[in-house]
Amino acid sequence: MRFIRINMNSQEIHVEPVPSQYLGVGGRGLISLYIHDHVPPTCDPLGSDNTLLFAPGLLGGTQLVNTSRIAVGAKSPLTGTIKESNAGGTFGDAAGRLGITAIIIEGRAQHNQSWLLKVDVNGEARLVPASEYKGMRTYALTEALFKLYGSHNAIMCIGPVGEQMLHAASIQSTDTKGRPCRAAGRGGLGAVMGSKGLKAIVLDSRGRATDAIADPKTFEKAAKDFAHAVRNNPFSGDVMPKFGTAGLVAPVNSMGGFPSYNATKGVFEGWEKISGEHMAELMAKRGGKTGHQGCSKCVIQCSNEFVDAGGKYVTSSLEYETIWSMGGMTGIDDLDTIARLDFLCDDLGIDTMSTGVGVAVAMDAGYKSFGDGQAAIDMVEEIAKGTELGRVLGNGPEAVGKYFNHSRVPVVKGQSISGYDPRAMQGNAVTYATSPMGADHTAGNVVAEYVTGKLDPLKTEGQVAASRYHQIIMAVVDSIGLCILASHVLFTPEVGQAFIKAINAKLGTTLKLASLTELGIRILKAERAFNRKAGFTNKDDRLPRFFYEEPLPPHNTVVQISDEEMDKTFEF
Amino acid sequence: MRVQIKLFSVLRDYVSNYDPEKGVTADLPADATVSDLLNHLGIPISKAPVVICNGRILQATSTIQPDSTLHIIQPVAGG
Repeated sequence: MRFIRINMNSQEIHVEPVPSQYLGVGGRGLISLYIHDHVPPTCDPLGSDNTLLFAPGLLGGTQLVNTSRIAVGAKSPLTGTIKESNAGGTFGDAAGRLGITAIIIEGRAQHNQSWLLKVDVNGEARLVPASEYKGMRTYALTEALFKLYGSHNAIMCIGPVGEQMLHAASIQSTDTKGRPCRAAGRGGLGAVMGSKGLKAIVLDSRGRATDAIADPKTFEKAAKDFAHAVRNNPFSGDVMPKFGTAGLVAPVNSMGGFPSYNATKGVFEGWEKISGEHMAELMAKRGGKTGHQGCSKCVIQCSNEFVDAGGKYVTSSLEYETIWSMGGMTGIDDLDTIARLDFLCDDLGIDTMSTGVGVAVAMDAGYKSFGDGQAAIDMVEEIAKGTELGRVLGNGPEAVGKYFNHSRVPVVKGQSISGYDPRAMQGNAVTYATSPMGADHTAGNVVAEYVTGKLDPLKTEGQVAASRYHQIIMAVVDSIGLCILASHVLFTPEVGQAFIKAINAKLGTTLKLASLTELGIRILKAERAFNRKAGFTNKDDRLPRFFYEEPLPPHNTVVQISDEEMDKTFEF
Repeated sequence: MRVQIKLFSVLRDYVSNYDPEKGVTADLPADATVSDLLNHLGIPISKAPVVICNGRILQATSTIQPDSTLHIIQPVAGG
């Protein structure tokens, strides 16, 4: 396994063995430790001192199911913190199979240069001039690249938003059908990629250089047990395959925690029209698809292909968080409009969540009315056109709030919350406030504790401990390359043991489950240390004032976790 | 007592001709619990049903309030 290091100033490429301090860590862990060690915390995220890394998980490229996530990281231009964002699709598996531990992009190309990085089946990398692709949206870009290089490739790329270096720019990732519909969406990593003059990375997906597995028989048995557990669990075996992540709309609204109309209500009136159940019914009628496999080696198959009333393709992998941000937050109760907005964001290469929340802030400020679907589409098209408002929207919800002089902006460290209101789920208040990543549910979502009756979502008891626990687990999950939707099965003792067996069988180690906890803590400590040196203090581990002051109907609660309690989250 | 129920995810499969807009009504004894309700609907424990009333998650032994509207979901773990 090796690093491929690219200097964008000189276009020099070096392949090197992985330094010993980064062995046994992958994905987010590798990225965070590397950034902590090498990136100046006070650097300009869009300058040449920032480093952009792509790292498959520690078990990426193996036969383990649901372990093909690709982690991407750098200092974020949106939050100013360290940032890891991971994506599905085929890129992570391709990287693992090519024997790549990390692709490390340093420096920045001359102004106006555009390059793409090609890695062939033997793992050899080269930079190819890409000026003919400048300004291309991601669907046209990936179509052109697959035509040029063949369909046996996996692509991560930016659209015009990343090229303009706007702070909510995403890096799109191609799925099993070759569509750039998956995203490393959060934190503006597309802007970092654009600042370096890199338009796309194309990896041959037929690599055969995955690490040899130390104990193949034990690994195979552990992999089987894990796949079995994922399929037999009601969440990953029933809800996700049949309804996708959209299957979360009903539970979260039923709990009164779906931030709606720019987080002024906890139940969205039209939610049943944008639920996973409704979408599945609609797609069955129209000849669309649910239960679609978007990512390599996935047995959950939560993706979808959304078609219009005429059966024509609109978008793929329409997710809960997009339905939440473009639907609940904006008051739009029409799946066709939401699907169109999803496609637009994927095509432009911008985070759907930041964009939807930005539109919601603009609506709340009175710019347009809640529920005006055409207005939302027009606003997102302005991002493409590069108008003044388009650039503001492209820079994220905090920029929108400042532009309209509006105080209700649901962000922490510049990044928006997600589809779980912190006033209705006090544990997620802690995760949003304290995660080194800014407001981020995938950093440690506590919702499972509420649904299983283990914790009361409206009380403060146990929330800090639960958030801490989930943040530690997710740091490990993100380092292994495991999909969050499969990760919950790790919490059962048998599966946890199977997983540790798989890790030991691959690496030839004798780790215990406790070692995984230690790894998670090590990663979080490195991330927090970087943020401290970048200028963040405990005062930044707070939610915006309105979450403490404006009760959220129907429960009419506010965030009740005290500042002192928040500050205890990382007392390991 | 009569209760109004809306079912979600694959739990809808346990009621024939389930109407998503209307849901289903159930007539239960006055002291019926969540477990009684699930037995009445024929929803097996293996599907891990979670009953929610007025935004609050009920325990298996919780009694059902008359004239309430219940949502029954499967567990979720976030994404």
